[in-house]
Parts: sequence; C-alpha cells; structure tokens
Amino acid sequence: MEKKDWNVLLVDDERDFVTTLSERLALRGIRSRVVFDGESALREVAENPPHLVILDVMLPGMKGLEVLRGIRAGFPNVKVILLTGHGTTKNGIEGMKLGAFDYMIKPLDIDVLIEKMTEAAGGRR
Amino acid sequence: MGASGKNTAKDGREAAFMGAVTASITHEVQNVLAIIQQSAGLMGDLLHVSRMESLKSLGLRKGFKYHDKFSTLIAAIGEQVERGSNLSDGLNRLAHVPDSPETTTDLRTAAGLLFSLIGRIARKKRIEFVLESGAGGPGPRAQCPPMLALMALYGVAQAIIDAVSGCTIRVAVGAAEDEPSVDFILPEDGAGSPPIDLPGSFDAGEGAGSPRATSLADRIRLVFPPCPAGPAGD
Repeated sequence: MEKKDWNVLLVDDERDFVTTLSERLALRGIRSRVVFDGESALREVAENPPHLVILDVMLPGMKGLEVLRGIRAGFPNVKVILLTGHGTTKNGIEGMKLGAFDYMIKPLDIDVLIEKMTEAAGGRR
Repeated sequence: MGASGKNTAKDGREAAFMGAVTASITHEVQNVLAIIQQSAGLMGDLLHVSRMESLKSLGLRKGFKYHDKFSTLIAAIGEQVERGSNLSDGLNRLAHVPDSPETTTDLRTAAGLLFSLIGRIARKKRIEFVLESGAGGPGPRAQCPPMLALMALYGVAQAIIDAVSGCTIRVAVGAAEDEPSVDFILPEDGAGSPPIDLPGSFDAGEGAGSPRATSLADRIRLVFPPCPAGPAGD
C-alpha cells in the first residue's frame, strides 16, 4: 500500500503537537485524522477503521493503554504505534506486550516515525 | 517508632513527593519540547516547499530572502530541543531513583547520569567530567542502591569542583582490589593539584558497606564494597 492510501488516526491531547504533526504528514502525502482523547479515538476507529493509529500513552481520562486494549479487542488488524515520554517507556513496553506494533519516545523525529509507519503498513511484524 | 525512624519515614515521604512532582514536570517538559520540535519542523517543511516552488517557476516566483538564515535557526532549535530533552531525561531518571527497587547499581550508567545533571555546576569552574568508554556491555555493578551510589559519586565530584578549576577530569569505571570502583583521574597525573577535601562518609551509616573515597597520587578512587544488610523492615 502506498503512503497516499494510508488511513491514519493520530491521538494525543497535546493539540498543538498533534495538529502540527498531522500537517507535516500531509506535506509528505500522508492523510491523517486527529482526535484528542481516548473515547473519541475508539469512536473514530469503530466508525472508520484506520490502518494505523499513532497513540499517546499519557492521555487524560481513558489512558492510552486502555484505548490500545479496546482497539486490539475489536479491530485486531489496526496497527498501533505508541508515543511515550522518557519516563514512561515502561508503558511502551507494556503496550508492546498488549499488541502495539512499536513505541516511540517524544520528542520524535518525523522521518523515523514514517519509517515505523511504513513497516507497520507493510505488515512486517 | 523512635526519632530516627520518624525522620526516615519523613525523608522517605519528602523524597517520594519530590520524585513524583519532578517526574510529572519532566513529562510535561517533554511535551513542550515535542511541540517546539514539530513547530520548527513544520517551518522547515514550509521553507522547503517555498524553495521548490521558486525553483519550479524558474525564478519567476521569488524565493524567500531569508531562507538560509531561517534554515540555520530551525536547525539551532532542533539542537536545543535535543539538549533540553537529554536534560529532562536525566532529571526524570533521577526523579525515579528514590523509588527504585534496585539494590545494586550499574556504575557506568550512574556516573553518566550524574555528569549529565551536574554539567552546569562543573562548567562554572570550567571543569569537564569525561566518562571513559568501557569495553562495551554493562558496567561494573556496585552492591548498593542507586541513590547511595549517586550520592557517593556526587560527593567526590563536588569535592573536586571545590578544589580545582579549568581542567578535564577523566572518569574510569572499573574494579580495584576486586571491588567495583570509579577513578576520577586528575589533570597532569595529579601534578600541582591542590589537596582535595573528600567527604568522610556518603550515607548515615559509617564503616562497612559505605562507599569510600581515597586520594592517590594521580586520582581520587571511589570504591564500593558490598552494603551490609539493612535492619529488618527497611
């Protein structure tokens, strides 16, 4: 699948971060939708299942790992890449055990993110 | 509970409070840095798009006059984000030390963490601590908890900072007499170095188990003997 065909959902309560990331992805030909909390993420996934979800672990309310569990339970083909902070890498590792494709630490390099997205979209893992 | 026990419990609560707040704030700092990084990245992306459009128009559409200057500034922002991220990472790891269940410490990791955190303090005296690279793999492990190891390393580093200025201190992690050790190697093999007033003790307890620092001709050696078992309930 080519990048232009990817259906990507970005989930992060840091609005400036996630909207800017979405714009940068768009400039690279990758379309993405943005939501700011876990409940909205699960709704979006149910209504229009994406190929990839980029999911922050430290969401207010429903935590990222709960969202991950929900996605894995209902939509096992949806690949999830987690975003963590330096102090929360154990959440990233826990997320891998729960079926996340990979995790990345913020601040993140967009080129590395796209590499991981490419791997995930290609189903290499 | 005696006065000492009460103090220990109070110290523990204070350390837990400081750790929790610091960890939370460093997480927020990482988010701030992530926003700065992505915003600067987007500016860079748009500059690139602008240049490409100018080139495609064969010069009919003027390029941005300050393209190169902006590119340099965006690169500088990226470098500072990385610097801030490393500092925040170090502070976050320090914040988690008090609640670490570890009873042993990787001395190379601990020394690296300490020097990343006290770089500014050392620079005020124009001192740089340079951790020598090891043979690869995990470093020697001290048989004591991470906070005790950090405090011992800091005690020696601070004593050196108090005594000398304007020099590089190489730091070698290894073993001395079969005990894990850290050597702070003085400039010019110690020739002309003033006496360094080393701390007598690095924790509340004295004697066996407490790291001990010794002045040698060309270095300060910090040795980590095994810690004695703590009292029941510790």
